[in-house]
Formats: sequence, structure tokens, C-alpha cells
Amino acid sequence: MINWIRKNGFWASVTLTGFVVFFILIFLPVANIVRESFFDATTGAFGIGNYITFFSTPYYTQALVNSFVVSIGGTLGSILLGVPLAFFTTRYRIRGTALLSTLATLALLTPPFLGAYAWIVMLGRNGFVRQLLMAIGINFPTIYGPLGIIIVFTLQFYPFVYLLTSSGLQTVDRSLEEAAESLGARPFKKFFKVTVPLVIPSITSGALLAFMLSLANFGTPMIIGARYRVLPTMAYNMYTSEVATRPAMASTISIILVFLASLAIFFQRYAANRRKYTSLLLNRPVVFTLKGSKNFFAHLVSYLIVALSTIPIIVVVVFAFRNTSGPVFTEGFGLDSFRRVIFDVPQAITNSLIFSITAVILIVIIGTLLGFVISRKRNTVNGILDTLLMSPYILPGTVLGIGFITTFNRQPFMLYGTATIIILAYFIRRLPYSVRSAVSILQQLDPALEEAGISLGAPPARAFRKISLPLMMPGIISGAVLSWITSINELSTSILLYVGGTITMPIRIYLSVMDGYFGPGSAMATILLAATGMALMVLNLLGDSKRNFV
Amino acid sequence: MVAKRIQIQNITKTFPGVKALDDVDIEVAEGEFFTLLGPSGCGKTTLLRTIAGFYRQDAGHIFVGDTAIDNVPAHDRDIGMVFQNYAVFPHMTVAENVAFGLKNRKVPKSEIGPKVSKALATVQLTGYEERTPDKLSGGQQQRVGLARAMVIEPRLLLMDEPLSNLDAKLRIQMREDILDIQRQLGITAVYVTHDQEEALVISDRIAVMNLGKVQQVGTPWEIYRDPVNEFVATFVGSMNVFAGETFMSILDADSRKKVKKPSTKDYKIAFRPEDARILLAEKEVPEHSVLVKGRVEKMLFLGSDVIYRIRVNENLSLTVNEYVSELTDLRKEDSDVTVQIPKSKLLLFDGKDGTRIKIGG
Repeated sequence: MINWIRKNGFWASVTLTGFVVFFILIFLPVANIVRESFFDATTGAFGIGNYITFFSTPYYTQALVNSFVVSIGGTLGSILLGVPLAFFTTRYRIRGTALLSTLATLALLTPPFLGAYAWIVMLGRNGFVRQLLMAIGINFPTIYGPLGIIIVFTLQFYPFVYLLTSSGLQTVDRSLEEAAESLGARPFKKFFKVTVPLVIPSITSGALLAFMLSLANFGTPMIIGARYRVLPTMAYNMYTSEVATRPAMASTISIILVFLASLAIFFQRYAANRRKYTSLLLNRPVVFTLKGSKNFFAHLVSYLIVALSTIPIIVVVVFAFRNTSGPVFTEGFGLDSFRRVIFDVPQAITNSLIFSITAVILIVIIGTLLGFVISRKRNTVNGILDTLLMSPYILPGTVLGIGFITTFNRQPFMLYGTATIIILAYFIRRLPYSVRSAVSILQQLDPALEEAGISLGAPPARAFRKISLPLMMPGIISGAVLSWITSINELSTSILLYVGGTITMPIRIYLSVMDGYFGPGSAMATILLAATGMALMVLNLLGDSKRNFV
Repeated sequence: MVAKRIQIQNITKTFPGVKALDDVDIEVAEGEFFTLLGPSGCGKTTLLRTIAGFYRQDAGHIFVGDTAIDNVPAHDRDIGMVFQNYAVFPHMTVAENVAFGLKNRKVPKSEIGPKVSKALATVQLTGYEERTPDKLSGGQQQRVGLARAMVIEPRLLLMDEPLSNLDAKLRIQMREDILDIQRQLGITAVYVTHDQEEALVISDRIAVMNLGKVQQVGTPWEIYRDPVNEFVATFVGSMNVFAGETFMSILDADSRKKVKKPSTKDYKIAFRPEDARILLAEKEVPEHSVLVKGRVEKMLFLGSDVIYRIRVNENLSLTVNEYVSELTDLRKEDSDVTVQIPKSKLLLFDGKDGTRIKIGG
């Protein structure tokens, strides 16, 4: 090992760092959860008792079924909204496609629990839309329960299907459709026999991503699930409930979640890699201009879909400016809610900023170096590291949180209650994306460029600094911005790890919502949305608004 | 710029599962334009990259002048390199690209400007100094690559298929330009290509490579007219190749006597399409030629040349390439013809290992 480092120098120590990071932040937490799941909580006996309990107790199996119901529902909903939107915006001239795409991306980047919260404001027990309807005599059902979760998931995750499908549709070679036409296929047949099969891998890939994110999502079912329990919320409750904590069962549920998530990811990779029809020598598809009622219909559908996912954002912002008295909204508008969150709980804001920025700095530096090692120093060791570092993909936030608590509340890593543990959680959750993005940036960078620099007399380090690094910079920055957005919006892991002093904005919002203080919650959420929106603008300025989201 | 002799001594390089270079031994003279020619995977690029220092050979030595450079890292080798995909730095202007190597060498600022201008003048890019590479055509980018490699006055210039990404017309123009520049500077150049025509045009000498081994080193004339084995003969130019006995069987008795058969029965006979011609009717049979009768299956008119595919029998056809002059009488498809091949132009190869068999007389 030591010889190996001496021989390979700096890059070998990067590889080593990668393994250490994996071991401490992924392997140990997961290993602890696995171990706990095999021990009986009361007798301490080793065995699969917990799993037997899980599968034989209706209380647990119901949560499993519920998880599937809302995940499949959310996935189908995402396909239902994402595919038509992708089709209309890529094949027909829709005015304001750039705006639609930006709003869809904004919806994708806002944390799901904000959407859930907005729907409560509208359709909760005292939701304003519901009260309006009530006033005219319609008793509209509340948003609570599985249907509400499915609606929020759909509006949250359809952008994945939309973005992947539209990029798939844009890379279907026009000649293929023309060939089908010249061979006598009518438009309808051409669409279903040629176009659709060609983009099926993209649709499947987006749908499975939506499925996995729905399965792992914690905030939404927590906020609007009411008594409808799914696996992540159940694991969370088992772990934190003051009445009867059952860490062993929480661990068992976690492992089952991880298993399901890895199945979804496995199929997603399979779908994405199985058939790549994208061609490089591309005749871009024609964009038609529709006329009359067809044109109206296409616009209506596209705008309706995006509007639905934008409404929650608007509602949150509007309610942030409404006057409140305690938990009750009163007449008129003002900055009172903002004043309260900024002066009463400034800590959440400063914490969020400090934690997310620190995490992003770590993510960028370590992620870029690891990406470089993985793509440019190909060998078996780095190949293994590449696979290992992808594992946070399949770790739902709740699971990682539980793993972190079990691992880091004892020596040698006594981190519970510190800012460090939250920063590390942000770091490890986002690291795989950063590594991937660095790898893909490097794949587009011809290695000959750096070799040219070396042959012109620049030592390797100088060649990297003068040539590769400047060329990677735009990609690194946009990756950093994305990491920052996801980190500052992180809830499911940090909610398990925070103590009073390390509270963050998403946690504060969640607590406000749970306590019914919608005013300050909205104000805080607006601040978070503004931060996300500004970051998105930075991305657009970098001309990189669509990359790396999926 | 001091031109140097290069000696490549018994270089071997193995990648997992592949012997990329197998005991390669080459000497390139001072100021020579030397080309490594071969199909993809033959090891030519591996050899070039080993000389550049991007690969380390498993065995053998490389000398530039009298100094071994085996242990010199790539950035200290003082070797200019031109890349297949140009590798022009996209974030720098043309002038910055060319100045990059000079800055690494700590050339005083006052000297950099004039040197850059001179190099750009040599590749006819004066006036493009402040352009960025995305505003240049492929040919112009490759000129930048060339200027950048030679401005550092390297001991040796390496070029890795520099023209293969350019379109056909530009390729022909650029290869002359490259040759002019190399002559003008008197620099030793090692050039890699899979394009045999390019190699023949541009090189002082060529090394034909296959499967990691050097097959033959020689002048373009030697490579083309006097190939040492079947691989070189068929890779460079086109060639009609037949199993020896089969070819003998299609000759008439008179012709057959003229061919000196080798001692082995397992041999091949080959000739170049342009060495054969279609016998004009009623003419006497040239004494030193063999005759084959056949029928024109296809006539491909190329303007300066005409190619005939001639069917001799069910299993055998051959190609004849004739120069077209005003006197040429183009043969129609389906007409019966007699093909005349000078016996001195018949090449014999061993059927097993493909080595050339030379029989005296």
C-alpha cells in the first residue's frame, strides 16, 4: 500500500481518500443498520426475527403496500404529465418553451415538503381553496392521505420524465421517421411504431427515477400523510418516537427500503443503458407549427401542467406576505412573517447557509478530484471506488440519518448534535452527483489537450492547472450550484441529526407547518425558494440549465 | 533548431492482453521525414506515444542524438507533437496557444511575440492571432497545432495522423504544406498515418507496421515496388493475389512455361492492377509477358484511369487499371479480352508466412 502511494503519488492519495470517505460515511452507517436489523431488540438474539416480524405483521406490511401505492401512483402521474409535455414542447412550436422549462426545473429543485405544505394551505382542513368552495356549498375533500401524496409526488417528479423524454425526443433522428413515412406508415402508426419505441428507454429511465424518489421521500408523507404511513415515515417514527423507540425495527425497515431503492436504480440503469438510440450524425426532428384548435389544445395542456406544479410555489410566496396572528391568517399583507423568522430564528438561516456552503466546498474539491481519478487513472482499484461511491444513490435520506446516528453517537466518532454531522450528511448525499458530473465533464474533454500541454513542456500539475481546470470550471461551478440547492433544501437526513443549535431552514419550516404556524413557515420557505431561484438563475447564466439534474 | 537522429532500439510494449510493440528497431536520420504506416491497431500510434513519453516501453531504448531519453518525463523531452484531433486549447487564442510552450520554457516576454508571429507566418495564419479556436476551420486548427509544436524548436516533431480529420481536398493541400514546412526547418519528423497514399507522397522513408512488428523499412519506391511480404504488398496500393497453382491453371501452356515456379507448392502469385493491361487485338504477344483470357465484368471510368474487373472463370476474377489517353479504346462490359502481365511484375509469396520468394532471373 505504502509503496503503491509512493509510486503513484498525489492521485493515489486521492483514491485512498475516496475509500476512507466511503468506509466512514457509507459503509459504517450501513453496516450498523444491517447489524441492528439482525438483533432482537429485547432478547439481543441474532437472527432474522425482525424481518419475520416485518412481513408477518399487518401494521408493517401495510406500510410496505402504502409505499408501493404512492410510489406507483406518483410514477404514473409523472408519466402522464411528463410525456405529453415533452412531446408538445419538442415537436410543436409552443410559445415560451424556455419559460416552461425553467418553471419545470424550479419545481424539480424545490423540496417536495414545500409542495406538500402549499397544498395544505390550499386544500388542508382550513385550506383557503377548500373554504372558498365550502362557502359556495361544495364540500371538497382534504389533501390529506394517499391521493394527496400522489398529487404532490406527481407534481414534484414529473420534470424528470419531462426532461429525459424531451432530450430523448430531440435525439431521435428525423430520417428514421421520414423513412417510416416513405415506407408507407401513416402519422399515427409512425408515432407508435417508430417514435415511441425509440424514446421508451428515456421514459422508463425517468419513470424509475420518479419511482425511486417517491419511495425514498420522507417530507411529503410526513406532512400530508396523516395516518397513512409509508416506509420512510415509519422508520423515522420508530426511531424518534418518544413513546416506544424501536431502533431494531427502524433498521429492518431501512434495509428493506434500501433493497427496494437498489432494485429501482438497477432497472433504471438497465433501461438507460440497454438501448441507446441516440445518434451523433443527427438530423434534428422538425418542429411543427400547429394551427387553430390543435394549437390551442397543445398550449393549454403544456401551460396547465407547468402551472399546476408552479401553483404551490406561488401560494407559498403569497402567504408569506399575509398578516398573521399566531397560527391564524388575518386581513391584509405585510412583512410581519419575514420579520419574525429573521429576528426570532435567525439561527436557522445562518446555519443553513454555513452548513450548505461548507458542504459544497468539500463536495466540489473532493468530488472533482475523485472524478478525475476515476475517469483518467483507470485501473481496478479506481473502478471499484467508482461503484462504491455511487451507493448513496440508493440510500434514502431517512436511512442515512439513522445510520449516521447509530454510528456517530459513540467513540471514536462522537459527532451527534454537532454541525459537522449535518455537513457530512449533506456532503455524502451529494458526493455521487458531483463525482459523476466531474467524470462526464472530463469525458467531453479530450485527453490530448493535456498531453499537448505536456509535450509543450508543462509538467503534469501545470498542464492540469492551465488546461484541464479552466476547461472544467463552468461544469464544476454549475455542479456546485446544484449541490448547494439540494443541500440547503435537505430535510430527511438532517431532521434526524439536528439538535436545537443546529436547526436549519427546512427543519424550521417543517416544524412550523407541524405546529400550524403557516405564516412564518411560508416566509422561511420563501427565503429558501428565493435562494433556490437565484441559484437557478446563476445556472442559466452559465448556460447549463438542463445538465446534471437527472 | 538542431535536427537530431533518433534511434529506436528493440522497443517492446505490452498492454493487458495485447503486444502493442514487438521488438521494434528503427533508426531515423537527421532531418528525415519518416512515416509509420499501418492499419489501426498495428502499434504505430503506440510507438509515437512512446517516443513522446506518454507511454513507457517495457524493454528497449530510445535515443535522440546520442542521449537516451528513456527516463526523461514527457514534458522534458523537448519533442513537438501534432495531434489527430488538433488538441488546440479551446480557452486560449491562437497566439496564446502558440505561446504556451514558450512560456513553459521561460522564454523572455520580448522574444515570445516575434517568435509567435514568425511561426504563424510559416503556417500562413498571420492575422489570426486573436481568434479563438472555435472560429477556425479544422485545417486552420491543425495549422495552429503545427505552429505550436514547431515554435518551441524541438529536436524532433511527431505527428499523429494530423490530417485524418480533414476533408479530402484539404488533406492533399495540407500534406504538401507540412512537407514544405518540414523541409524549410530541416527538422527530423516522425509521422503516423494509415493512409498509404499520404505516406508515399510525404515520406523520405516509411516503416510499414502490422501487429506490433515492423514489416519493412524503405523509401516509398522500395515499399511500393519491392515489398518484402504479402502484407506490405497488399496494404500499400492494390494488388491482385492468387493461390499459385490456381493462377498457373488459368495460363495457357506457353505462358506457363515463362513463370519460374518456386520449390514449394504452397505459394501465391500477385501483381498490381496497373502493371497489367488489356492486349490490343491482332497484336503480337510480348515475349516477356503472360496472358490470361477473360470477359469484362465491370468497367469503372475514373477520368484519368479506367478500372476493369475481369472474370476469368467462375471462381476467379482480376483487376486491371489502365491509364486513359486519347488513344485508349474503352472496353465495353461483356466483351472478351486478353490480359497481358509482364512476368517481371509477378510477385511470389510464401503461402504460409507471406514472405516474398525471389527466384533469380
